[in-house]
Amino acid sequence: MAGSPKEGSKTAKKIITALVLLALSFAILWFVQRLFMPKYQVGVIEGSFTEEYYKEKVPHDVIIFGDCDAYESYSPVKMYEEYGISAYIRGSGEQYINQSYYLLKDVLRTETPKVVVLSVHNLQHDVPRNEAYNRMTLDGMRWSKDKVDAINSSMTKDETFASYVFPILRYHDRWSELTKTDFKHVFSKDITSHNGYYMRCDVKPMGKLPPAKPLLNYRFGDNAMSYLDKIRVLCEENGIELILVRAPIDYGWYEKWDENVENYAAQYGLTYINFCNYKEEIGLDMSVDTYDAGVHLNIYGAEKLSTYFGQYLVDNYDLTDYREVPAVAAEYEKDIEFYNFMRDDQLREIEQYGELKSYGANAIEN
Amino acid sequence: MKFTKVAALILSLSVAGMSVAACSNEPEPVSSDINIISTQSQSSMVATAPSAYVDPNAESENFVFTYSGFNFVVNTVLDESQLPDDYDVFQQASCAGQGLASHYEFKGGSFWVELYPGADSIYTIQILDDTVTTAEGVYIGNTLDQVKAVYGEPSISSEAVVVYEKGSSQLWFGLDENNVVNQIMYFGI
Repeated sequence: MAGSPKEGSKTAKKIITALVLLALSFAILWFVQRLFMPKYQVGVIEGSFTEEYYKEKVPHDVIIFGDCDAYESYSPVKMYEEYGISAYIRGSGEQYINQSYYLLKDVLRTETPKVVVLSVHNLQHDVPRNEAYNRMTLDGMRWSKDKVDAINSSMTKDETFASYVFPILRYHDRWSELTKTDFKHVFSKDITSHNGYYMRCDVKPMGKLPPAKPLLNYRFGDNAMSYLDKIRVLCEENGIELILVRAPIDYGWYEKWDENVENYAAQYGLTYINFCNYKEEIGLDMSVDTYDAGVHLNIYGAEKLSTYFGQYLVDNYDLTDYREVPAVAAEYEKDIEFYNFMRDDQLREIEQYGELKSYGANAIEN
Repeated sequence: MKFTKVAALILSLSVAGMSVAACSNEPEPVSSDINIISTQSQSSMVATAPSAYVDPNAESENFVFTYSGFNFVVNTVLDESQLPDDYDVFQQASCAGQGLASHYEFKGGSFWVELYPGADSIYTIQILDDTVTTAEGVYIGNTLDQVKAVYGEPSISSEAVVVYEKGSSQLWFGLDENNVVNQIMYFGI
């Protein structure tokens, strides 16, 4: 027998109530998850870089992948200003080469650059070794099969896939460490990089660096090399020129590693540029072009390298001069404005305090 | 109304249960990690946890390097107040705020001592010239045969390095193409 209209109305009310409660619970969970996740907006901003790419509104002829060697050595804005090159750095802290591969696949979902530049510094790690760096690269990646594969190929032994799907599983105990930045950026984040470039305007002259440690052997690991192969093949399949580069930083690199890359490049007809060999032509002066005694370039060093590398790119590849494309140029004008604003702000702080206060390690909130 | 209360209770328990499950799944720090992850620090994700790198048995079980009467042992706390005074200190930040490692250069560069990032215990001791020796008397310029005569067969060997293990320490001898020691290094493991 069919129920009365009154009973039907009661049932519908119960179902609606349950659905509303369910939706409310998920909304609360989602909000708490957003609140607890690290924001990477001040201090350690490198965790923001992966997701910032998705806010780009212009096409890119050149995309650079890699770790700090990539995102601290090249200034895409400078390359645009001088040559009209539209470039982006998909770099992140200690980005492992498997992650470079999946980030390249991720890029190819929306655009096909003419040139892919891979900073070979990340060949030194055969497999990912550090969860913090995994998180900085992967949490901001847009969900796709590539992100799933990137996570599965990156997780260290104590990590779980579920904690990437539901980051609250990883970050839930940050409740006692929340800062005003966490609340301010629950729903939206500011851009912190300049087309993926990490700007530093302070100067700490090249100093004495700890000696290089001996290694068991100087061959790159099989896993790392397999991902280099995958990147090469992916570029070939998509008609992309692949360039291997090494930033002009002597620290953390071995001659035998260099030979390995040279041999690989020769075997597959790739270009490999170790900028350590071109410091003089680039005009680098490590008494003023580094902010941390020679481990990374500051803006002065990065702009010199960008001028040099940009010239090489326009001389050797058929790149579009986007200064002649009004829609793209209009976007880059905004990028230049932001670039100049941050540079001037950093210079102001350096003049006022003798060091950066709102950027870098001094800006880390505790 | 009764149904609503039951539904709310179930949902609340689900959310609470998820949190409890998360707590029980929290990865434990791994002693071999150079950078220990902590969800306690939003910015750097790095815990300053010196104790994580200290091996209570290190003094008696690990290799010891002695200089000017001071014993350097990896995985023990470096007591700066007791150090010989001919050293300089350099601090080096890891990329993306993952800890600050202190490096001590002794005797004008004859050997270096490095601490774990964010900690005060010794991670490596690196000997770079022949003015200092291991506690067992091996120095840069010795041959591989001389190393083996002192330490025996290595635990690990490659074309470039032989490695000996003791307690939570490793002693590495870097070799040139003629099997002559060109670098000596103690590692904490």
